[in-house]
Amino acid sequence: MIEPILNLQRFLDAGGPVLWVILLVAVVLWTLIIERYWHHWRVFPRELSAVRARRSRLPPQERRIARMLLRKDVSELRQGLTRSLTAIRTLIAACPLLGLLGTVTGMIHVFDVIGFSGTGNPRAMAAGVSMATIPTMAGLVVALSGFVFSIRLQRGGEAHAREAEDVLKRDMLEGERKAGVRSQESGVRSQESGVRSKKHLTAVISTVEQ
Amino acid sequence: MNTPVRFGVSLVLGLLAAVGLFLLMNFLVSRGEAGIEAQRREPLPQFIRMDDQEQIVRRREREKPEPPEEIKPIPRLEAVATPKQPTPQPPAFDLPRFDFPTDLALAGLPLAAPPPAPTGPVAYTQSLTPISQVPPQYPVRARRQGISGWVRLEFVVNPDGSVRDVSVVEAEPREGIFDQEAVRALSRWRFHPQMQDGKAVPAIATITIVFNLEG
Repeated sequence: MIEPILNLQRFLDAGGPVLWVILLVAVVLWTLIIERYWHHWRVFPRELSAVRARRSRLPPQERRIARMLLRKDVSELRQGLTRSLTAIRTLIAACPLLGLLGTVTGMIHVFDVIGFSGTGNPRAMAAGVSMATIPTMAGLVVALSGFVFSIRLQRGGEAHAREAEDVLKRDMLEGERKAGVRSQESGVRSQESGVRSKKHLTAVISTVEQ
Repeated sequence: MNTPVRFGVSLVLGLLAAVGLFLLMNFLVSRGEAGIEAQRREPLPQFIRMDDQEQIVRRREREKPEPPEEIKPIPRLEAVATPKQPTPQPPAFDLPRFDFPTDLALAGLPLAAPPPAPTGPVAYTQSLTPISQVPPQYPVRARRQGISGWVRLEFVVNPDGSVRDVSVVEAEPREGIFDQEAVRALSRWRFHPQMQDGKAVPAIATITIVFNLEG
């Protein structure tokens, strides 16, 4: 346990101050990403079921108002799903640039050494060179690792929002049918969407029963 | 679960993820280093075969050339005054007297005064010590070739002490390397004029100027 920490300490020392910034960015980035996944897996189904329960408690209303309320609920859910994606993408875009900054400062360090002791001392220049190269690699690695997950989160968020919209619309149509109000074209659309979101619908119901 | 707890747990997990990423990077970087260390510990192969018979280096002896003979310096010649030449005696002729009458028609004419005897330069008798002396410069060519020599010059000391009619009598070496310089230098020297009967007269003198490389 001690040796990895010592290795990491040496690595951070070799990378210079910019590497600390990159580490900080990586921590924030991964915090946001993990929070997003948590939200997708645990929080979103709970929110969706809560919205469904609230809507089922509501008395049947006029159809136009019901649709507007539906759109509002879906929009809120979508907002919750894609909340910090912009921040995540910003951090990912900043990582390679931070690495570039580290390169430049490291090279300045190297040139300082050259100006002080000439080119005949490669051992003295090595510190500056590692200060130049390690932050570049760190920035690239952090950005790459975050990039994959950010794309998946974005797509997953969109999909979840669409599914939530379908589920809620289907619920609404079910309620309307029970209330005896029926519209043909909306029924056709709800059937289409019901087929698409059947799998998710069962999942939602199962979580509610838990 | 409310939002702060969610973010707190996410922060811990994110920290772990970031540290894991950095450890991965460190592993990527330092694996090459370990390879270098392992390579450094291996013994280096020897490219030079040491089991050969050692060859004795024979040193070639070479006769040293004899040192060149030392150049004997040419003895410096003293400037000596030429000895006074004996005055030439008129040869005694025993001629028969011509007896012819002298009372010619022109006897009454006044005789022209005999022309004064030309005052040719007499020999210089004093010691040849110049009053003022221009040192001769060693010719560059002679100095480069390491030639030394001397020039004997004959000249006339004017009544005012200056020098004229300088001519080279003898020189060593004969190429005339030093002649021009010796003549040039001597022409600017000044001597005490030769005194004869309380009057300064021109006098012929001879001098030897030695060009000697020192050192």
